[in-house]
Amino acid sequence: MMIFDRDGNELADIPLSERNQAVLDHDGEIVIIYHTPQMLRSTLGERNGTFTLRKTGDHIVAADVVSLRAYADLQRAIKVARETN
Amino acid sequence: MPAKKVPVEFGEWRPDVALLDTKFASEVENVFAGVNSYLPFPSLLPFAPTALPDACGLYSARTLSGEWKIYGGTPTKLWTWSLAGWVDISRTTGGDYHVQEGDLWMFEQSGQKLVAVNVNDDVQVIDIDSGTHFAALAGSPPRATNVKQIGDFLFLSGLATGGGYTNRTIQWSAINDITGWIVGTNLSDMQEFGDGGPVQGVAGGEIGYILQDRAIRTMQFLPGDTTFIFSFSRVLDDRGCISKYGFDSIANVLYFISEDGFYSMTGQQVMPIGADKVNEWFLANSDVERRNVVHCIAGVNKPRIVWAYHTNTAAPMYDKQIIFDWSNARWSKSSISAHVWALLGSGTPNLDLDTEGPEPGDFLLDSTAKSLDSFAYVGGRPLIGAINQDGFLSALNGPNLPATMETAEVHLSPGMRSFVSDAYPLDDTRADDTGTVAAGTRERLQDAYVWEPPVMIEITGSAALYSSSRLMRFRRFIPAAKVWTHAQGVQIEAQQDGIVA
Repeated sequence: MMIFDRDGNELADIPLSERNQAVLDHDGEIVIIYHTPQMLRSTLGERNGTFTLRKTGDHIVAADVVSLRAYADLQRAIKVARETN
Repeated sequence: MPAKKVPVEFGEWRPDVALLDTKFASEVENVFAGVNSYLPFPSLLPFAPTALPDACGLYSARTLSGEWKIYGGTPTKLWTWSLAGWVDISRTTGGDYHVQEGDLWMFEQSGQKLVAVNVNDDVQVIDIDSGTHFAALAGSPPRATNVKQIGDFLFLSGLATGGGYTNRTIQWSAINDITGWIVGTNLSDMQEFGDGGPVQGVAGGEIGYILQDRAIRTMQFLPGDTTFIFSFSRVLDDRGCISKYGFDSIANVLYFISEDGFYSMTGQQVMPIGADKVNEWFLANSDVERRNVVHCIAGVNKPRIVWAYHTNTAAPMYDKQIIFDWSNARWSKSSISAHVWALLGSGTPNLDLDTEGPEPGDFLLDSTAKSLDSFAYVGGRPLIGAINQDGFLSALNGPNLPATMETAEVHLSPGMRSFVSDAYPLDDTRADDTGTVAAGTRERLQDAYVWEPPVMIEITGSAALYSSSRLMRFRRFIPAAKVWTHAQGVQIEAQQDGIVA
């Protein structure tokens, strides 16, 4: 799902679970907690954080842009690392 | 020398120990083990009008209103049971399923969702209250052999190899979200175990257990730790679970079958529950080629753990059960053929009072039939169920199976032969007009046993054996459908009968 900042700028395309999407569709707010998977810690280092998403109109908006981008970077790195392994 | 009356107990069934002049039973069949007796073993009583041939999955899940729904699986379909018969609730896209021969569907309820797995198909899910068909679980979880809810997480294990997974990997869902399988997100993660062999499954509750085929690990949730989430500790090395379905847990106690027999584990404490009891017997009397599918069922209505297994390569389905009573640490066994076993909840009760009392009708509701608010009518009572050999859904509450119990071997007159004239069964079998007692005899330990013809119980309550030997054991047979509650042994009348020539 594409995530936007408060000004409507695209930030990152990240996967969301079906349940998270359902919560957002019902005007709820979700907190994403992220961490480096245990098996990839030696490769990717320890990264973790949280950010909040909510739906405004048709857009899913992130309150913490820095954390969202860090999460998107981590997900890309995980994908590459798992494909490499 | 006058005849003497000697009680010979059946005792605990421990076929692995030497049985000369002991208190142990050499053979029992179709009984449960009580603390000082054996108890009758019921038969499977079919209660469904239509069959589910080749069933390889059975489960009952609870609806929001507290009723139980029964689900079944076959190699190509998933089903739910109703009074009208089995209803096909397989996925509507993706075609037939592909359960490998000998494998089972494994189910787990997670909230109001029922998750079903077999390693050859995508993980399936259905809403227990409103779902009409299974469908692939969202989030693209890996294909798995086993599924288990532990705390707020759904665990998949016995994973199909590929896509970054191996059979040594487990993965768990996001917290409180079985549709969240993005590794590194909302506490979802995976763990690979480099040693200990393939992961067979995950069990437990507050303490989780990872069962590999050569190791057991405990797993502890770390609340507030978003880096590690779970800690894993190997607690058993070089031994694990040899069957992908051969384990279960009750109240944080894990029961499993290992290469050398049966074990239980509580935290880090391992108990060899089958050693010097039944391990060697089981290994000699089960199909080694199908020990990887021995199926463990932990009952909640009685303190018993059941392992269903195949006796030999010719057995077309599970044909025997070995049962451990964890309240008295005793074993017994039974012979029932069934495609698959499960713990079920009784469904909607029959409220037709015409069938509940001795009377033909009860229009005034004043008969001896149960009252309308009787607890007996409350649905959801636990019971052991199965798909029997004919494919019918059945409950283990039918008429008693034919039971056999043997005593240990005894020297009734040490160094001498004994003449046994009479055997008086120490059990309370009603209307025992076809039950028998037989004597097994031999003169020397080096001789083979000879079982003499079974002798019927007479109106006196005794069987006239008229048997003479130096070494003797006694076999009690209680026919099928007889009503009885306890069997303790036989009291025999014996006198010294000379020396061996």
